[in-house]
Amino acid sequence: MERENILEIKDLDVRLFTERGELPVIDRLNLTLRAGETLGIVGESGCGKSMLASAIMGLVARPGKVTGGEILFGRDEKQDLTKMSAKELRRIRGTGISMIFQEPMTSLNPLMSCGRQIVETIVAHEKIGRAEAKARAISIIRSVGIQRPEKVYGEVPAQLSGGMRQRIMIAMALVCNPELLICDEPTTALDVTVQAQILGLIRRLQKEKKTSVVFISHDMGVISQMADRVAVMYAGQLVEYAQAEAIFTRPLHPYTQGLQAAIPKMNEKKDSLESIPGNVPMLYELPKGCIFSPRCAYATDRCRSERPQIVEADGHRVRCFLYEQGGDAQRREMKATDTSETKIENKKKIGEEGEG
Amino acid sequence: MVRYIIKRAFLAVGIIFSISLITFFILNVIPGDPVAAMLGEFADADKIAQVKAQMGLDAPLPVQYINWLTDLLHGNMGTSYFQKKPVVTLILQAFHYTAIMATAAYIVALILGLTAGILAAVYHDRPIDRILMSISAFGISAPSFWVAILLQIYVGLKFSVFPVSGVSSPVGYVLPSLALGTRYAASISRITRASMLEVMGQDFVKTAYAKGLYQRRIILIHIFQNALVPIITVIGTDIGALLTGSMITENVFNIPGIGKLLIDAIHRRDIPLVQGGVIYVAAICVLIYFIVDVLYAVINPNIRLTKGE
Repeated sequence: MERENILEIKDLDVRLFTERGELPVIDRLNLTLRAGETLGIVGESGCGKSMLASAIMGLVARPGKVTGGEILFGRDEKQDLTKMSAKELRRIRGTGISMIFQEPMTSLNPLMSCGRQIVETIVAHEKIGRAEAKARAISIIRSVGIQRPEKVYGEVPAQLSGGMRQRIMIAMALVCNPELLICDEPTTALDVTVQAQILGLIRRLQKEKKTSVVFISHDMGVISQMADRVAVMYAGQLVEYAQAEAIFTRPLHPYTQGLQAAIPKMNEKKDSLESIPGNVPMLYELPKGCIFSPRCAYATDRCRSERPQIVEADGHRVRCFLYEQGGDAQRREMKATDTSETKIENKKKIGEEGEG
Repeated sequence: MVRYIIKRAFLAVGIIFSISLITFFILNVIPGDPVAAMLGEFADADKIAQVKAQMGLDAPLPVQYINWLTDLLHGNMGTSYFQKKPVVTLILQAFHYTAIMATAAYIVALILGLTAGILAAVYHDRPIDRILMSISAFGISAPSFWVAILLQIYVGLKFSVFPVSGVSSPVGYVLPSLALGTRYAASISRITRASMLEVMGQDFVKTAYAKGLYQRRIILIHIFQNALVPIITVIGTDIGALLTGSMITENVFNIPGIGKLLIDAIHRRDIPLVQGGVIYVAAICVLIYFIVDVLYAVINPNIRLTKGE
């Protein structure tokens, strides 16, 4: 059975107004998310993932601005988030759409107890008594897997570890039962064991509360654990969009293939890790043709002079001339290219927190 | 928290003690004989020596210091050479006037300064911000005695709404408070704006917006509270300066406050009064910094956690 869409992004344009001129941070992006599903958004740093999250939340701040397109949100009567007044947006944030951020160390107010930060979210949206709000805060703290929630309720963020703080963030985001949860690199700042716990927690709560999730990450491994569908972004453009399984088993776009090849595999022994040569281009010096062409092993003269449009191929939507006629025939395996520029993403380890 | 406060308190007492030591010796080694000054230019050497002995000024300096310190601990700062009244009484009298003026001035400063600072931060880089910050740059650069004189001329004399001199009635405080208050308002507004702008860029502010809180709550609770530490530091320094006497403004408006008392004492080499005055100034400053330190810990639980138990 086809599930209804909860989020439809149509031709979304977000620009940064800088001294170097208008920069397209997000360029005519089209995406949909079905209710209850998880949409993974993957790409290197600087590809516009976080700006997309801000755009959905209505939090694009100067010098950025949503300059075109629609973000339709809701089940039956969809509302365009880009056209909403500040007042309407405030009402939707927290109750309709919530967000978890990358840095649990800095995303909570350092001066306010965790409990109060959750309570103020409830109070901002509901007419509710103090005692009742507190009881609800404690129960949601318990539900994110924190022992002794009454104690943590009164503690300030500095007394908690990174993983605990991210749990509090999740509790805070979900306390008003939003329909959509945006997770912007929620585990990037955490160490690997904590990362697995937090991902498990998000999945469990999503199932319990039937929340739809937009999950943003640069980490293909994490995306593969979370997403039903995956959108691959590159320098502000959507380059490939398909079912998660299809993305991981049969990536079409050369960039997706590169990302896929960069995941280290347990059963292969190699001296160096795979990487895609080069860097994401700066927004003020985007190539004239395909934005990926400078790093693409298959780039032709046409790729360097003309922008490819999104085409349907093999159940994927992909922005590449290779698939213009559709079908599987022209799919090629991307050969491992120059690996001299190997970069290993350093995961920040969260140190021990100071004891009280 | 308790340990933090006790530690700060010990530090404060230590500072006052050192200051007392330094002032005592400095005042006693600077040239100029107070007894000679007191007795007038025709007093002979015998007379001077006799008076010195009476006052205990012929004893060695360390002994004098111990005596003076013992008296101080009993709440006795000696007697003014010229006014012939206990120094403590004189300081308390003057403190009365200074305290009223300081309070009035600082209420003006806080209301104007915080409002302007918060508005300028919220409307950062827009016309309101630019106008308010130009006014405050002017307020900081304009000397308060000049503002005081302008107020006397234009508000006091032209419209004769408020008295321009003396504080025989409470309305006498209006002009001095305005003259002092606007200057402090300017510095409060600048630090408030700068500090709030810094906090506004932090992640948790984005979280607060993402939670759907009312903007007023985000500004006044989340941003302002986190911006408070530098603001309180400035407020503490300001109040210290105000309570230790605004010499020029007190002179312009002829208010018998601490500033005027000390200036007069220095001119007459009234050593007990100067010593008492310096101890008073030091005590006020140390007390205010102590309060500020405690407030840091009250506002910011993280200070409490790391520096405390």
